[in-house]
Amino acid sequence: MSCKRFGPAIAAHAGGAALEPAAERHLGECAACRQLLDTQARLLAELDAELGRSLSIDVCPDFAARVVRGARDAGAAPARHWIPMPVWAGLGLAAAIVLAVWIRPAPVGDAGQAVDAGSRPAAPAPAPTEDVRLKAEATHTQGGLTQAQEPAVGPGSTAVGPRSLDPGRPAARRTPNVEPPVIVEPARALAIERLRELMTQGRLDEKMLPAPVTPEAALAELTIAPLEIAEIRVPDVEIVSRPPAAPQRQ
Amino acid sequence: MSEMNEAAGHLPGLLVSLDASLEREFEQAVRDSASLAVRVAFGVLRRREDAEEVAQESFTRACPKFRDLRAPEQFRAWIVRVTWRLAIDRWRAERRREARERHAGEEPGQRTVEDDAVAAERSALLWKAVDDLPEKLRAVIILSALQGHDVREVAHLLGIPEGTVKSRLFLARAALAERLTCLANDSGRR
Repeated sequence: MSCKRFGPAIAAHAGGAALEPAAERHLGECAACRQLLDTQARLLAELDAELGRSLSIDVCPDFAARVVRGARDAGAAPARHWIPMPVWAGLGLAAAIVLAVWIRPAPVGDAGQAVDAGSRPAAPAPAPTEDVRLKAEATHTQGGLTQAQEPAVGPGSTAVGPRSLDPGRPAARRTPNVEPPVIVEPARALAIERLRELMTQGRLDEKMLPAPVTPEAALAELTIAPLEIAEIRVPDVEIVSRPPAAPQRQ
Repeated sequence: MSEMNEAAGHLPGLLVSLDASLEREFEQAVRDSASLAVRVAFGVLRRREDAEEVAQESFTRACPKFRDLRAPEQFRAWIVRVTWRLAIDRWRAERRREARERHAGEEPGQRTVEDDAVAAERSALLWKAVDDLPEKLRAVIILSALQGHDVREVAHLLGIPEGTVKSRLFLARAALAERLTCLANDSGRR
């Protein structure tokens, strides 16, 4: 019984661990356990020798070259995680060029080119400012436009801005930085034009401006239609209790 | 601008030379750790060709990561761990294959003259005891058996504390002592 109890301690001692006093006492008394300890220690020494002998192999001299060649063939080259300075400089230059092209004002011509889309080469025209558009609007509202200058929008409103004036030609595609045409009613366009003239001449008076709309006035203008609620009828529901279904017979 | 063009013209050459220097550095690292990797793999597989194959595989895996593993100690530890894992995987696969072959009714490998020799039998017995160890204990035993690897070195290679290495070493040796005794008794009875 004692031998079995001290077995693990003896094995650990054979492996190099210290022996506890009780196990030491038992070893002093039990010859079988002493023999077991000797056997285990001898076997472990044999194992150490075997491991040391087996694991002392050397690699072929060309092993490293073979490994590098194999890695190269497999496409697994040592990866560089950093980019040299000239590459950064080139990337920065390319980014600057792209940015410059992007923020450069678009040539005005692409809207103006369409005005006379004959054989005439596209000539750079001044950018369509708001003034020009409003003047065109004013001209239109006064009925001064020809048939060819008929706007493409509805009769009651006017599209102000660059557009194709050739009737057989679709409107020229706008560049992204050209503002969309402002569509206003003819009467309002005239008023805007008049207001602008007064502003430029310095004759604008506060009395000429409409009174500011107060919240009370805005509320007063709000009309809420009375909600008509029809009679709500709840359909009659008849609850019918059904007898439980009879079990199916097999 | 012309200066920029000139710099860009030199760029490919610069990159090639950088790659080449990194490759030389990698080759040197392989030279330094090759024996260790092959021995670790051999400790599991016990066939030189297999061990070299596994070591080569682990170096190939290390190659793209070499920039992060440039520190020699880091590289050695990484290589040992990857080699160990690959070797264990291959060892398991071989064991499964052998078990299938045995199951299919084939005779176990024919014994050669060397296998019949007492020394070979003894060696097989010793290695069988090592193979029966749990993986963690086995790694500690194999790495400790490599020349010049003390507890601190093994702890560094495996990335575990020294105390853990010591306790695993004691457990492994105790288990080996018991296992070897059983195997020796079995072979003595036959």
